[in-house]
Amino acid sequence: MEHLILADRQTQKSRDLASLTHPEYTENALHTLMPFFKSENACFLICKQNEVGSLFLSDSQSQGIASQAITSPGIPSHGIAYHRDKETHCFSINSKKVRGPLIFLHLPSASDNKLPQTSATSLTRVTVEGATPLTLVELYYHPAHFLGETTANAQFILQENATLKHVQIQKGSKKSKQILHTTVAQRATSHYQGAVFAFDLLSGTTLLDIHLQAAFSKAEVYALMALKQVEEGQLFLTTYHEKPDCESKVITRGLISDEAKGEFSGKIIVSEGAIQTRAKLENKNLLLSKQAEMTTRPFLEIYNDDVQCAHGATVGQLDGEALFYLNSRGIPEPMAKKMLLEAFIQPVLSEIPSVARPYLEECLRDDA
Amino acid sequence: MGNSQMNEAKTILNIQNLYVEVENKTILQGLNLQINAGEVHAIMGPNGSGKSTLANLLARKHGYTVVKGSIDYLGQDLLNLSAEESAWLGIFLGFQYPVAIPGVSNIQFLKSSLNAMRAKQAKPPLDAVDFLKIVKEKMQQLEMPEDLLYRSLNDGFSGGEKKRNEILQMSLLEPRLAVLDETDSGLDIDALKIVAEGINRLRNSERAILLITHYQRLLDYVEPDYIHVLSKGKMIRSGDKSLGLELEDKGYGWLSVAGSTS
Repeated sequence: MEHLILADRQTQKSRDLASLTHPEYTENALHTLMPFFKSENACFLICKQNEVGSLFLSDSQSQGIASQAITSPGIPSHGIAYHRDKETHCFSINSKKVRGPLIFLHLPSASDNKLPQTSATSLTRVTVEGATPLTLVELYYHPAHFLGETTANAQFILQENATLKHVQIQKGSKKSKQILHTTVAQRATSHYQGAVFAFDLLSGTTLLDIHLQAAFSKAEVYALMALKQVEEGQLFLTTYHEKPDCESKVITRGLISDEAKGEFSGKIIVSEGAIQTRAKLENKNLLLSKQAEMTTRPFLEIYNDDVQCAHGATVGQLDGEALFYLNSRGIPEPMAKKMLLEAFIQPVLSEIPSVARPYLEECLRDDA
Repeated sequence: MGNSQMNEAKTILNIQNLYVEVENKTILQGLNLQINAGEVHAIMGPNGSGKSTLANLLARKHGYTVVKGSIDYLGQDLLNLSAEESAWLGIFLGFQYPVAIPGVSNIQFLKSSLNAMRAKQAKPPLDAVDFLKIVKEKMQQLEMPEDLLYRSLNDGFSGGEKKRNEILQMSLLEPRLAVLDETDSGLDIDALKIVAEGINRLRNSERAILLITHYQRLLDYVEPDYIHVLSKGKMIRSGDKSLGLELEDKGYGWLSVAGSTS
């Protein structure tokens, strides 16, 4: 049985959630998350991992979860076509028709109100067309009592001239684990602006592969790894410059506290013939305790001349001189540290679409 | 200023027989200094004599071990205070090398600083409008372009802009004891005059100012009541402003000899 439900401002606000095959935790997750996305007329699409078509779209302006069932081929009025290809949720989005930012909420699946303790897998494929910039936020959310592991595969295809502003926020339960593997394929003159965050995952592995498959495409990636307690986080970014005249920029920051362990690997691969490539990769990390560990590895693989590549990686501690400067002006130590940490991650946060900010700030607050 | 007047003035800072080590090296060796309210003192001396050590120690920077001696600040043991506590009690250090902090805007920094001080004085925080009014007026006096407010703190500021920004902070925070560590270095003559005027505007009977400098040039514009020569960690000579002119003329050489024989 496939359930596709569309929220509609005109329909009555359905509270009849029991009739839909989503258990309590879905409702709770929505009630927790939706307030952070109120301001921008964002639309929610819910993908429950492993479960056949349990998707629905809800309007952030509505109270609760107003909903209306829709069926394949999707929600044409919102520019969203949907079908399933075996296990994969396939969306094709016409950015001209989309009314506001789209929020994809990925939840672990469950056949009843109990959450699985075992692993769950989700597959999504999103094709974006149209020159209007599309903002898409993906929330990979583990409810507080979820202790299992999820594996998510997400593919994004940017058609010619498409612009996608994409934010992935992974929010674990502090005891859960996740592997997220995202692949982006870019056609000519497309522009991908991605941002990746992970919070509260006992173990989190994030892989992002970007394929610049046609000339004059451009990719930017901003990522923050904030690890604390005994969390382990891995971030593997690879940019494939496959055709000439493409540009890529990767800016990442790591904040490693307590006894956490982080690992970063950033690769730029420039194929033969991909002349006039411009690529930049920057990874900076702060160790906030003596036990914290960070390993960072930038790689360049360049198979022709006429390219500009820059890369750099640093691991350091909070600048004592800067801290003293702020303290000497009467700014108390905790506030001074907070200012410096915010400044450190600012190159990542400043590029985040505004719709994702309130929730990100909430996650960062919890993290502090 | 006569002796009788000086004795009546309130003592702001009293350093006695101070020995300080940095990384197991003794930098200050028996330093004495008393500064009263209303006075401007200048410390001159060759490189490595301990001038910046003294300045940083007064602002309670980490990394300095006091082996012997005492520092009394307004009746309190300064050595028990943290950097922020000494700031709350009115000590201001104008940095020789103001620290650049990319990502923290100057205005955010200035406002956080002023409001942190006000909180300690049980005053309500200034809102953005009131704060801007005050800061812009002071910036005009220092001939600072307004865009410096919105740039990252000291990031890409010219030498002159950094030093003016230090004086701006001093005028906002209105300290009891201002220690200005080579505030004149890296300034052209026009900027030096503006900075000196900024310092002179803050001279009053309640406040003490300690200038640390290599050059007489600054002292032509900010006339000190006392000049001290620091060499090898102690004061080897103190005098009035004429000492500065003598130093400019003869250098430190003649004093070192005098110091070692006295």
